[in-house]
Amino acid sequence: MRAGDPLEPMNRVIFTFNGVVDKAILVPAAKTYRGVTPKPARDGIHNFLNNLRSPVILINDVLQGEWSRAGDTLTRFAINSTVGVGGLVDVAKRQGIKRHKEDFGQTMAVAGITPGPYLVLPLLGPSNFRDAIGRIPDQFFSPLHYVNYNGQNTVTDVRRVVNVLDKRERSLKAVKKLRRNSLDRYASYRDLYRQKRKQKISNKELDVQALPEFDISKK
Amino acid sequence: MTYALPKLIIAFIVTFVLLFPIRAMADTRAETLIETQAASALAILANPDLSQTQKTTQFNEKIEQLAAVNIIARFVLGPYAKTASPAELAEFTNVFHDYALSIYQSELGKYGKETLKVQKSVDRKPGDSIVFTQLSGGALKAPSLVKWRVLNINGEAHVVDIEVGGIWLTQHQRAEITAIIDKNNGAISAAIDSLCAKSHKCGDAKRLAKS
Repeated sequence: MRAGDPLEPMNRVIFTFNGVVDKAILVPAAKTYRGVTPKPARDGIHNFLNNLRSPVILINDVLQGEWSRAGDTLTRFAINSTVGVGGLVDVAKRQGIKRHKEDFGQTMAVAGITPGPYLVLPLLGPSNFRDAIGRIPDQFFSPLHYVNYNGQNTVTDVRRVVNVLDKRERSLKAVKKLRRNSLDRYASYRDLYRQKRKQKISNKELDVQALPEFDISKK
Repeated sequence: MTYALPKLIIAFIVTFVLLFPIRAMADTRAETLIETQAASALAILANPDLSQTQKTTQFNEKIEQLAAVNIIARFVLGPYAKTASPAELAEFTNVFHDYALSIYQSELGKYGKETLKVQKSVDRKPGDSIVFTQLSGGALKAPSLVKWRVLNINGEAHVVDIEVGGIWLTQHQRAEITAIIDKNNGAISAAIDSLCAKSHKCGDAKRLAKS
């Protein structure tokens, strides 16, 4: 097995497909979004989307027994939904209560469930078996999931589309730099995903003993 | 019994004297390296009086002193470092050298006007420390945390990895390079070619060799 990625041939095909979609649709859409929306409005939308995600983060904080972080999430949600005009302004951040992210994939990791093989999901990008499964309960943790209009989840669908635009617009520069510097883009994304996930699961606490050894016998 | 207690105290003092300074020195050496050398490398990039060429030259010289590039080159080859021939290893190290310098410049180049402050350091084991630093001020909206892995190599402290934005750069390079070699059935030449494609210097050398 190469680098814990037994599905690499299939993953690479999906990765290429995602790249084509990104280039043909997402990048032009993100650039248009940037062009027609002033920065303060984009920041407001970003804050609003983050605020909408708070219930999902809160439930996962609680499931992980992270009471202090759950308190932060709840306080942030209360402050930003009210004083922050429905979440458009991140007032809580200005008060020193920083946002953190949690999802059910992280909750499963904290419970000791291993990630399983690396997986590239169509349109959604890098993941693994555990985190891909974790996406399902997270949907049910969001109150928006239960908001129906004419029997359809229109609100959730609109949120998803705007969320994709927001994420892609914010990563335009970083992805461009990654494309310029990376030697193997697929391997690069895979490693970035793994390192970032490890960091999120440990709540940014560094386990120094888990760092790899360097051979210093020959200089 | 009356002699046992003083002996125990002496043993404790000897152990303390022998062990504690070594641990403290390891931390201090690593912290000093980052506080002085890393900060001055960043200062070069921020110096408005230097041309881009001067910045690159001076920054590269500083990184050569700061980082153990040969050790990093062997690390990024992963298991293939053991199977590589001396000639392959030498060629790879040479090409990787330029690539690593350009990556460090690209990653650290966004800093410069910021102030680097050492927060703390943790010893992973004797001679292997992680120095936690905070960059603040300059163009940064919020302080940025950068971690430096410092090894004691033949009595000298050298950086072997940097964590920026949650990503350890050397580990990331290893993931990419071993993936290329894996994909090419263990051929280290494939990694050399990929690095060459990213390095102007290497490209020039190859063009010269062909002409």
